[in-house]
Amino acid sequence: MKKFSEYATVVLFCGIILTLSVLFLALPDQAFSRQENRTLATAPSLNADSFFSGQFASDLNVYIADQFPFRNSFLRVRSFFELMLGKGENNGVLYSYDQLAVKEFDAYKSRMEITEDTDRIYLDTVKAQLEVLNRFSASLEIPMVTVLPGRTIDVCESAFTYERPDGDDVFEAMNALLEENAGYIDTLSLLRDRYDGGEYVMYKTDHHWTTLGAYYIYCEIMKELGKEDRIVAPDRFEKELIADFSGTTAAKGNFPVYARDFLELWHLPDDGEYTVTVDGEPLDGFYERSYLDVADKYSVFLDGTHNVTEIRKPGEERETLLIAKDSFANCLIPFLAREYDIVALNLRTNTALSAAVETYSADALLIVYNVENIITSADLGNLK
Amino acid sequence: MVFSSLIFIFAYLAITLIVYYISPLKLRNLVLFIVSLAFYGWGEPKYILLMLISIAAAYGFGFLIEKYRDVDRKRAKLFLILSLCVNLSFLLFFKYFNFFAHNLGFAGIDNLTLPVGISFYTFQIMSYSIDLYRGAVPCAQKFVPFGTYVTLFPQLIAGPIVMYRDVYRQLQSRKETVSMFASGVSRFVMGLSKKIVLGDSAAALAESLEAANGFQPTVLGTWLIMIAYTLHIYFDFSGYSDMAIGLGRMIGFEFAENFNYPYIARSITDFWRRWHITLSTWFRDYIYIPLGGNRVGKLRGFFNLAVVWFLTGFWHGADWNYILWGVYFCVFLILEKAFLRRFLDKCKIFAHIYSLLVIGFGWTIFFHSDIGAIADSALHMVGIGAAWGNTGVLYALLRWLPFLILGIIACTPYPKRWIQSLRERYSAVEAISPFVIALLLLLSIAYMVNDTFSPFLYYIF
Repeated sequence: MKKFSEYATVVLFCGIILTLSVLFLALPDQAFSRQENRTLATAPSLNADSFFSGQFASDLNVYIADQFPFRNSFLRVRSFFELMLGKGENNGVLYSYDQLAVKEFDAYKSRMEITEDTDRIYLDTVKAQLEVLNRFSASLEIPMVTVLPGRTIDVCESAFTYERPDGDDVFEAMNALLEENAGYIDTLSLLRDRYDGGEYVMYKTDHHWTTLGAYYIYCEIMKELGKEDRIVAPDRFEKELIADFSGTTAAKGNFPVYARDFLELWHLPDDGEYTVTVDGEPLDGFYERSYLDVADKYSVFLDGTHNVTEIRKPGEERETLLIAKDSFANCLIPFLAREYDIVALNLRTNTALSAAVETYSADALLIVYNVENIITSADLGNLK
Repeated sequence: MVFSSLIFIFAYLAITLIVYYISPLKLRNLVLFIVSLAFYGWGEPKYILLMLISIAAAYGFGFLIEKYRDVDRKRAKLFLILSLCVNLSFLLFFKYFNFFAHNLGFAGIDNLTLPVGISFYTFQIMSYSIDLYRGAVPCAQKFVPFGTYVTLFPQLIAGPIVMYRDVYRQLQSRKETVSMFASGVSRFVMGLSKKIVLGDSAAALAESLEAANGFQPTVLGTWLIMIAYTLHIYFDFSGYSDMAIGLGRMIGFEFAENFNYPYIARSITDFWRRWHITLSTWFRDYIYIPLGGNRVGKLRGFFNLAVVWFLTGFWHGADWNYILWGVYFCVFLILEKAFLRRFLDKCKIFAHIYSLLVIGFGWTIFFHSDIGAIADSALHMVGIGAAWGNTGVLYALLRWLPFLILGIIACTPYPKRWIQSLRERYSAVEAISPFVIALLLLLSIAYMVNDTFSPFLYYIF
């Protein structure tokens, strides 16, 4: 028996290494990983510079890992093992029975780099941005609405044992500091109540709110703009279900077993009458259906994020709503487009909003900016 | 190159083993010498030259030391000193120049990069010269086997510190067997998974605790960080030694053991007989005993200890915290010699608690280059300036509890004993073990592949 086990050990070890090496060399390189939605590394080029600087060595390591045979299976094995160890998270994604959420660890880390103090400097930077928002709203002559969506970990707090170190501090600061002019809507309480009540307002596998969640926010925005009577009732929409949606959070967590989501596209009979352009290119309606076949399904809404997205209804004279936003607005905009002509600007690249209000002769301004973005960027602080 | 990388296992090791085993016996040392240089030069080739000069110097002076060893002690000693000077000057310059330049106020020139493994191979080379002078080993006649001894890739970068006297016979003739290769494979894979699954997890635990503890220092968090450090360094370092010993066996070498369950030690004296054994042996044989060891007066004995432990600390790194770390252990060793030993022998439970506390806090010193942070940790552990706990720390504790339990068990000899007794009782265990090893290898590969797992998250935009 001892002889057998010795030979078996040697044969298995050499067999595994040789088989995987040969497969690595024999199999063609994959250009793209659907699983990770990114381009995989290709063979690094070898020259004297790259070799002596050590760049070649580290590139080669990345290349081997990226093109490793059965890469996705190995990744699953790892996340399965991590789950078995009871860690309840993988790659910074929290796992619970039917909800995934990105931990706020990334924000945590960036805070660690900002300061050596244990002071909550990030809360201070958030507050500073809120001040700018206040000043900006005071100078604005048209009505303004501010929507600052929480992260999944904020809204779906009840699904996890994980307690956010700073709790709702950021949201309390928003409630306390934002002035009347900013037209702030507390989306956190609203969505959290609905989530805890069992409504499907946040995706399980993605960080965005669902179409239903966006609908509730749309109602609040309409009320804030004094258009409560113009809200389209939910039962007037024809709802198209897109099954088997798996979002970015699931991609990051890479768990072997998890719930699936579905996307909803809400249609009205006259949807075909709108003209939609993204960065000057025409789009066929609110939904770019080619995304339904790829990993990045959420981009079905208005073709994902663009610098300028414009929506009009030819033949009708309507008010113009200027929206400065991130991707949370993408599934919200179709609702608002039924009431307003829309000019939506990517807030990361467009912060000169006063000028934009002039340019587009906007009648109202809406800001939609996710808390993660507020924490990790200073974009709101650049508003003018 | 590090052992726990895909490139090492699938390119370097695969090629090395094939070339090694198809080469005729006569050429095998040369093969090892060449592939070891490639291993060393991978990623940072410029320091190969430095290592070769060190080797050549010791090799050359070796003939002179041998020539005068029995006829002219003084001259032999002179050549020994010259040989040591060449080696030590490289070590001093490349490892400690930054430290001295920085502390003596020459700012701006303290940016030398440390040649990988220089601390280890310098000590190996010195062991040859000194043992040769003492007549304990024969003079290395051929350059290649001697070069192979120093550069042998399994132990080149992080030990164990292999003494020439232990391996020179194996360099001349060794017999590679299936049995040895198989035990090497098992040892290597165990070490690999120990490092990757346990060691890296403990490092991640320490990192998440540090993040949670960073905003609001807590008693619980500071203690847990200490435990995480303690697990991390043991799994990392002993995993590396396991891999080195395993790789050695695959090519027919038997290296000395480097760890013997250090955390079951009942005193600090005991700990240092179980932790990094080859280093302690080196300092004992080449510094402590030549200074007179403990066969001198009490005060002189303490002085000898102090010298050895100052050097041990400084060897670990060119920074004040390493010196402090060495001196810290020296204090406990002296206390134990003076009176503590008698208490420890009487009460085993107290001895274990005491040893683990001293060792654990030692790692807190080891991991903080900032002396102020060490003092803070000490204060936080006893509740001064710290809350009892916070939600972040509690969450981390809950999440990592299974790992902590697993890790603590893995530090004891019990798992090995259980497997041993199972083996004796059921013959099937023997038959299953190759497959367990294969699964551990695949699991480790999965962790290594995950290193580049970075889904592009088109995150908010």
